[in-house]
Amino acid sequence: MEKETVPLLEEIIRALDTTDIAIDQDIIREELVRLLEFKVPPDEAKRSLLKKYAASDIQQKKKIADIQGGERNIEIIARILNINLKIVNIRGEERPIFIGTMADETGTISFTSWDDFGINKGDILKITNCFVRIWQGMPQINFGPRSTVEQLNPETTDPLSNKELNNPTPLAEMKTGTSFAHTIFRIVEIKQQNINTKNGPKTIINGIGADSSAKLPFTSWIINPELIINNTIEIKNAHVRSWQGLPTINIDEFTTIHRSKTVLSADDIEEVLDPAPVKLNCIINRDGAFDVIVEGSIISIRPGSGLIKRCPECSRVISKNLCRVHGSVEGIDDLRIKSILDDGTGVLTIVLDSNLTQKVIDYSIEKAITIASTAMTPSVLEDEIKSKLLGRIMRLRGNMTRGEYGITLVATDAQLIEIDTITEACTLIQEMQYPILQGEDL
Amino acid sequence: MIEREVAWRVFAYEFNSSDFFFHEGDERSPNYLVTPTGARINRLYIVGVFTEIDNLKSEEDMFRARISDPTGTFTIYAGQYQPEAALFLSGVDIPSFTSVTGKARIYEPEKGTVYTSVRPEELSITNSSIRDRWVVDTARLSFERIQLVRRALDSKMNDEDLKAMLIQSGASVELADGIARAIKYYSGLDKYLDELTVVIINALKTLLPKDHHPVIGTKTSKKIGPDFDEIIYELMGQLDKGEGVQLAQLIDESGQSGLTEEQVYESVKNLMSEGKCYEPRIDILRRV
Repeated sequence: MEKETVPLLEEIIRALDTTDIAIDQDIIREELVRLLEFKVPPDEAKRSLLKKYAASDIQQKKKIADIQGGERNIEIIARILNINLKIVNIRGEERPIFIGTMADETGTISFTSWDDFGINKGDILKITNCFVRIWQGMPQINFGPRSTVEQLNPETTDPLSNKELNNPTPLAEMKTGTSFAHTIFRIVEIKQQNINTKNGPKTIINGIGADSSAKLPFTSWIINPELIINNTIEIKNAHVRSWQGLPTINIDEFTTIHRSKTVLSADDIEEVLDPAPVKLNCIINRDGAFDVIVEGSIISIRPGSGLIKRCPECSRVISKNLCRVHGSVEGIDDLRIKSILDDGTGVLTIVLDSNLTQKVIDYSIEKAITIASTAMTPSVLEDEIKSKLLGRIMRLRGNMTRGEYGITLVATDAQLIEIDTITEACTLIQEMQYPILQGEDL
Repeated sequence: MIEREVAWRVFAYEFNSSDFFFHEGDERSPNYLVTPTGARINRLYIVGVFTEIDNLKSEEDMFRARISDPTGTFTIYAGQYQPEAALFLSGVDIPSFTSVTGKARIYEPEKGTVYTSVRPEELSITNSSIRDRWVVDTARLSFERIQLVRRALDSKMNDEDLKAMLIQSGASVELADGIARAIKYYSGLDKYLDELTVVIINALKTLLPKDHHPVIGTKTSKKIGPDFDEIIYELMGQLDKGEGVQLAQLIDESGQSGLTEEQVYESVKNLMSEGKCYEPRIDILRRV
């Protein structure tokens, strides 16, 4: 027997030992050697033997942060943060499934339960026989009839209760998927909203919080007297989920809310509320950025800019008056710009709606339609946009999100920027000469 | 989703003094040209003036164009795989302001000799104010890189420590990686950064109006009066009967205004780098 196979054999036996199955080490050794003689890679040989002798009953215990996608047969202990009923149609049959979010001390993850286990929000569960699949780019826990779901005592086993709370995290560093967010912010906008949930209508609170680093939206599923405008609050055990591409702080009954001892004044957050342009490399590595200002060169106008037609029912962009959902429709004229903004430190796609497009190219949509119909082709507008904008410096305000089309900023405001290049050149010359003159003095 | 590569801003002077080209990973991963200031260039964005366009036709069309900025010239090549760029180049007047996004390429005919060029993706005709803004932006970004490289050299740090320090100092992940590579590869960086700084300061000075004396001169700044440039520019216009002006004739004529040959050369150089005149053929000059 080769030297290298010894540790592998030990690994296999150790793994099988954790089950109640009686094993004969000699047989396993023999089969392992045989598999390796067949040039089966060691990992595959191990997998094959584990499968054969353990009847695939080996549960791998996993923490949420370690889940990558594609795992099978794992065991998870987590708290249910929320759960909703959904009726899906599977092969012509209506079937209830449950979708929601769960968390342990390492992170949060969404899940789908294909069976009714009577799970309620807040339950601490040990779930066996889960599998993980990638759904919309994120791993998601799935479990169903082959799984067991065991209620654990929340007093002793809450995976989040022993979590040591670290220092508060600045809003700019909030990551989607954090399950125990601890942060301090000032409430700069707040409103109530009535929604329908599994358990009937419910009032939730939507708002925007700000600290000296960033602004972020938050949603509270509970009513709390501290949630009022201009209050600085400290929250612990909130979880951060992606909502419309932006990290959003979710506050629920497990979150503690206090009025913060350190109060963020209007001055502290002034720069965030009335932001200065940021360099693109400062934000493009974030999960999303809420209400930022960026500035850069328009280096490319993308196809689909200019005069487009939308379906009157669903607003999808259509061509030849055919909507892929609603069939033949009378399209509505619209203007937009999709372009690449690059400041030399980073790059993103920007999208301007009809109003902003009209503002930056100084055309009304009526004029655009006239020009297009005179030229007999709508693409003439794309050329117009190119000649007006390519190479120009544009400043935009809006939300940056990261999605399947890359990093995108949907503009809430846009303007072309002219600077006095002479003044700017003088300033730079002075800055650059300073160290040289210093060098000469030495 | 593969993220789009940023378009770096570098002056021709720096681009052409780069010879560190690398490729890591499988064949689909991008190529990079690392410049002495650590710009890790796959894509770049330049705004300059077309000074020459040739069709090097062998079997297929292959256009070579020269684009000048205040520090030197970029060479761009467009052939059968860049049909739009080739079509564009076949119809452009010289001189004209242009903006180009493209990919950095190198040609190494023999070991130790490296020519850099740009394979254009998008070309368009633009104007002097966009060019001026590009010069300012490129100067600002180049200066930031120079300062970061100096900091890297002073720190005596390497690899991961160095990158972490640079990111802390405001560098992007790509730039931090580029600088870590550049200081390993290039020798004599300290001296080069001084030269580059002077080149950039002179490039910025081309943006200033003639009667502008904003700053104390450096050791390297030339003591040529701006008026000389103006005299030469005027003369060039008067002498040009449609086919440009012979350099020798220009020197003769300006001698009458009391200018030395050297001063004429200097002024012509200034005018060229400001994009106000060009050399359609050797020793023939024309106003833009």
